[in-house]
Amino acid sequence: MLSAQSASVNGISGATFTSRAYVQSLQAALNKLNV
Amino acid sequence: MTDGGDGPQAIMHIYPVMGTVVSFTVLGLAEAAARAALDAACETLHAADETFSTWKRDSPVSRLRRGEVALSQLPAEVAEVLELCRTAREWSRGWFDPWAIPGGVDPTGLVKGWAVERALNVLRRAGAAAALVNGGGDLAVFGGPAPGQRWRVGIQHPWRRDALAGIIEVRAAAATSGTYERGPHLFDPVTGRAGNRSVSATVTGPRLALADALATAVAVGGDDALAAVGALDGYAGYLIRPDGTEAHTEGINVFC
Repeated sequence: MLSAQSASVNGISGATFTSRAYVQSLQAALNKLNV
Repeated sequence: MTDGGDGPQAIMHIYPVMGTVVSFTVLGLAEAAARAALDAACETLHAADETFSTWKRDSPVSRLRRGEVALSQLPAEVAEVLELCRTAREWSRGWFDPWAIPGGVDPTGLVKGWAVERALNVLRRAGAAAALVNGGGDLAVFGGPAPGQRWRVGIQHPWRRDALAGIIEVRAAAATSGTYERGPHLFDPVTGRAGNRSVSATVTGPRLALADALATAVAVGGDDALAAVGALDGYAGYLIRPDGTEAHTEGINVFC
């Protein structure tokens, strides 16, 4: 198991989140880092 | 953020569609060209949603499911997607079966991957050096984040929101299916009820449309469906069972 913060990844693959759950997703955190 | 070597900065974009949020990374295009290509890519996603949504009562696919129209009266994309569904049903040995779903044929398990793939192709045709399109957890890519590098994709941990189960390198497509985000929604063609034998199922391969459907198959069918994926050229899979144990086929390296 990896902490997402320590992993350098370009995207997250996972079960499809709803548009409402997006804000809490790792992909949203990643997008925020890169904007 | 890497900038793809000596090309312009990576351009990021997000677009809410199909009940989720699609994230884009585009490399090697100037800002204006990248934005124009992204607008066109988002338009293809929106159009796919209008055609295929089973939530929209008057979408062509909803009308097909109710038997109000024949396939031949619908846009050619519908027949194309159903043909891919047929392939996925055969390749998954029946674990992915849109025709077994009560209420009429439902291609939802393949459509998002198909649409994301088309959005990526818009960016490719626009001349991007590399791109990544992530449709709410199902990704299609080409090129890499920097010359000589592959896109690195984290697999969401099914029980810990802030953790990854592992990391894979992706050349073309990676899809993950599970019920930990939206609850039970996967139809098991064997039992005829909602059910899943994996808590997380990831499939990589050349086409996201098929990887998406096959990930659904492995989520539902577990080890039996994983074996079916392992027998396919170019596709590979990784699953996490309800007891936390894992399995994978050849051709996929999950880094921890």
